[in-house]
Amino acid sequence: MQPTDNIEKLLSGTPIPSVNDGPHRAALKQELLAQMQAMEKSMADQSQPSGPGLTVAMPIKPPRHIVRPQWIAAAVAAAVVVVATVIFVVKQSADRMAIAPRKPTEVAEAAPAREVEVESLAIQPRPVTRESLKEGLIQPLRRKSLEQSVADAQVIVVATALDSAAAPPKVPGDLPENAVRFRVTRVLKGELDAKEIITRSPTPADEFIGREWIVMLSPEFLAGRHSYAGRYGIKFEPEVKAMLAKSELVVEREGLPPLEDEIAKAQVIVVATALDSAPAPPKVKGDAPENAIRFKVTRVLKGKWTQEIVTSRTLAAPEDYIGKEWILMLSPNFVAGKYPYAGALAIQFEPTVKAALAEPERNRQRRSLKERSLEQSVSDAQVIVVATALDATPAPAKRPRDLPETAIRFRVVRVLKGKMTDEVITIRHPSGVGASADEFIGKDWVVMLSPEFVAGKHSYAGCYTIKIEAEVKAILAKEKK
Amino acid sequence: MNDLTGDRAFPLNHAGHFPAPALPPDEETELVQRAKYDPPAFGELYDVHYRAILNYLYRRTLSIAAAEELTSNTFFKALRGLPTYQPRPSIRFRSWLYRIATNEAGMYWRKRKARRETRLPSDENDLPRIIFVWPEIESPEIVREKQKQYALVHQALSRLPERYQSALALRYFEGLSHEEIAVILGKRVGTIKSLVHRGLAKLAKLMAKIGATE
Repeated sequence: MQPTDNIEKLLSGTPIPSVNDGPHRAALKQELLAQMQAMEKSMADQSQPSGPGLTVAMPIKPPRHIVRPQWIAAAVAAAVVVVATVIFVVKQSADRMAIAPRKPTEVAEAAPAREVEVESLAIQPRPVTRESLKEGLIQPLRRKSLEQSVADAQVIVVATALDSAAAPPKVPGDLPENAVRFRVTRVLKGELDAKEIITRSPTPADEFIGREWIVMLSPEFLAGRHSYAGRYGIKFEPEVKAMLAKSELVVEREGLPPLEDEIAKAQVIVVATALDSAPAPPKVKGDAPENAIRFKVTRVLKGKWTQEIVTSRTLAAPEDYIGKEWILMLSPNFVAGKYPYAGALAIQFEPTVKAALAEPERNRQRRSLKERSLEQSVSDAQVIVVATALDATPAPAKRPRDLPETAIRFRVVRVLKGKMTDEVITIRHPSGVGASADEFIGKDWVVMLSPEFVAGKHSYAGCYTIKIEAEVKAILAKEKK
Repeated sequence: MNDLTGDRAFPLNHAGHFPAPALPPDEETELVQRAKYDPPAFGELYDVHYRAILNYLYRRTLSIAAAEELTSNTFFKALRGLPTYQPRPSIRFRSWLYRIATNEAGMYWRKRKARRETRLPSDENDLPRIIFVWPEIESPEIVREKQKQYALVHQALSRLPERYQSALALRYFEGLSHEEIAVILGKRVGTIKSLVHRGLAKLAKLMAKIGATE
């Protein structure tokens, strides 16, 4: 035995104290949130045009060792910008402008949606002040996550930075900025007719030119209220696309019946491109106007379908359909010619539909019965955790003459649903300590805690074997979707 | 064979508590990103991690007042640093908080040393708020007895250099894996294993000196 084994045993066996919550918990939380709100407020105040009467409260005074490097970094950055501008201006006067200044009309052509001239940009940069330099510390608080930016942007494009020109300051004394011209190569979100866009940026233009960027255009940019656009490296394109696909799936399926049911009900499922549409004659006089849309079938996913064209009636505007690929769900009545409406599903669902179709029908039915009860338990539980059973002891009787029960301690390993702040949970099991308790100990379990358990009204919880973890996760993912 | 260097499962009869489980990674990332500009989201993060940090700092300082003060410092520093914190699978938010808390605990002990304070700050008034394994069946006497046992180990541990203290406390009182301790202390996993092993050896010598190994 190694000399350290004894001491390890001693440490492992040492009772470890924990502290019950006191008033400090609530007080600190309140103080932290107040601090955060004060920071937000001060940032909001700072984003207003600064004037002589404007004073900005800095609620957090960071320690000096934090301030210094950022201040130096900001100063160095400012110096670099000034030097770069001087070189640029000298070069411009020598070469008579390397890049021909764009006329207002050219800019308007480039971005007709907003009709912004380079000379009349809406937002003016604030002059560099002590406050604005300090702001560098808290600026990232304002920086939104990529996901938030994707959600907020009205249009997202991939664009190549072509060239740039110095954008004249709006107010004398402003730091120099650049107007950068981008050629749009593809649109990832929204619609944009313009082939080129011009954005304003304080970053030196050399960093842009000749490279591809993901440019996020806000509704304000498109409305011509300002000329600043979010710019991300092209390496984020797959991430942005994944986020867009995810958000579309969520939006598209909201409030609809389960997709599996629709797939099961459909006799034929095809992928088809909407070709054109024509007003459909009303079935009964006075009916709302409808359109008949012609779809060209490109592939069949389920059932037999030999016709090249499918025509379906719809109440929706045909422009939403034309030119796009759809998954059409054709019911038995539609196939028999008794019903003129086909179900149309966005093409993003094709993998889901294929996966559902790949599963043998019998398995699906058998599983759905089993899942239903598990689904119910998952849905009813407020918290679901994976936990390791640590030990078991006789539970203190709640009333005299109660049947013996066992208290089993679990160490929470991970949380699958809800929030769990306890490190160790103790549940009662309605049996005495015996051989059966040993079956629990040392193993991982999926433990489902009811709202009553969480509220401390009882100590009984559902314990499931770890094998069902994947199933529980799938049910939770489905619920989330 | 000595298996201390292996990252084996913690002994099941370990009588201590374990750190709060981290949120699922994707959920945590999303919550942390929201917390950067959304106070209620930060509040959620705080609720999830408060107890773990308070307990950790109590176990390091043996004083609720000091633990609460250091917990405040930890969360204020986390609030300031949050904008620059980037969630990564290798550096979970919990580990990041533990890192700040460990630094706070280190500073606390350095200050005490500078002031030449040698008496442990254990306070009888803290006892009503201390719990061990079975709060519902533990009488104040049992709590006092267990607290004494812990204080004895803590006293020996506090005589070790700080790097050993942190590694052993995180490993044996918080139940963290070598990998997570490596992230928290900013060292390699191999270094942590070595620190833990050497720390145990040093602690064994100290405990033998004060006759507490029995």
